[in-house]
Amino acid sequence: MTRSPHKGGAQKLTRLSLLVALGLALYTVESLIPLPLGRVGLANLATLLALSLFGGGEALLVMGMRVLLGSILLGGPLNPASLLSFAGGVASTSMMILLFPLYPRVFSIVGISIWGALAHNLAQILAAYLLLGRAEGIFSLLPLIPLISLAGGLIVGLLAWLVISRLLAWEWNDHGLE
Amino acid sequence: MTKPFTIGDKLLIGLLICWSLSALLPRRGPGDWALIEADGKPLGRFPLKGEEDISAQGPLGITHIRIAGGRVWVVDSPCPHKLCVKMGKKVRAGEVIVCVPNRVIVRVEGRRDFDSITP
Repeated sequence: MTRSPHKGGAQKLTRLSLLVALGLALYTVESLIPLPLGRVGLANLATLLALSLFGGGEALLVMGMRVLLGSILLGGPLNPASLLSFAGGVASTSMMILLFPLYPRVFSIVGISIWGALAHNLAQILAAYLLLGRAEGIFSLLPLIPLISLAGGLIVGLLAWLVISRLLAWEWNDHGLE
Repeated sequence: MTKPFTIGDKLLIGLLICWSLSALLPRRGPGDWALIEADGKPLGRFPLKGEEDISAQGPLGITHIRIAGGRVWVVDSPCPHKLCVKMGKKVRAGEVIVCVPNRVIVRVEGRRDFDSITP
């Protein structure tokens, strides 16, 4: 895929900012759902899009900005919910960056997304254990992790697939993905 | 753009389904007592053999717990979603009922269970 001549830093900045805004909006909507573990991890969609359209560094940036702005909007930067969200974000983004070289031959975007959801949920359980007074009862949630990760990862991954296949038609990406 | 569900995807999905199904298999025998904690403080151990009604005082009010027929369950709780009541009757060692809003935890424990849960 050829790069369009006008593709400069400003355009990339705008697109990454759009992804941050998308992630923030999804995060806000999702925080209205009362069940703590019933969340799909919709905000991960923005990170996944940044990763596949731009790269690992950009994915970390989009995730970090989303968590930072999200914590300012909903609660404080150091409240437990923000720390949980940060732990989950770092874990899932790292996992997806780590496995991204296997895309698209071994894992499709859906597979990468499920791995991200898995890392996200495991990190949140661990962080909740460390933050909430080391209550071991929290590990009784472990058997739910594969199911929740599968459901969330599938939804986010399929959404990402739909979005990416349309965006690529507009040459939205940074590194000629096809 | 590759279509979803490569071989790797399918293997991963299969693995996760097996993992979640394995959680349904009974792993431990029936427990011997219920360890009840309210608001971070242990209320005590209650043998599952007899019949007993226990009131656990939490920040929202009293969570009513009943033990009968070797099982323990939450009869009523002042929490908004009543998830602890919906968690049902627990028999096996290692099973847990948690009422997060009222900070009540009920753990079923057995005599040979100390390696997995240390009270």
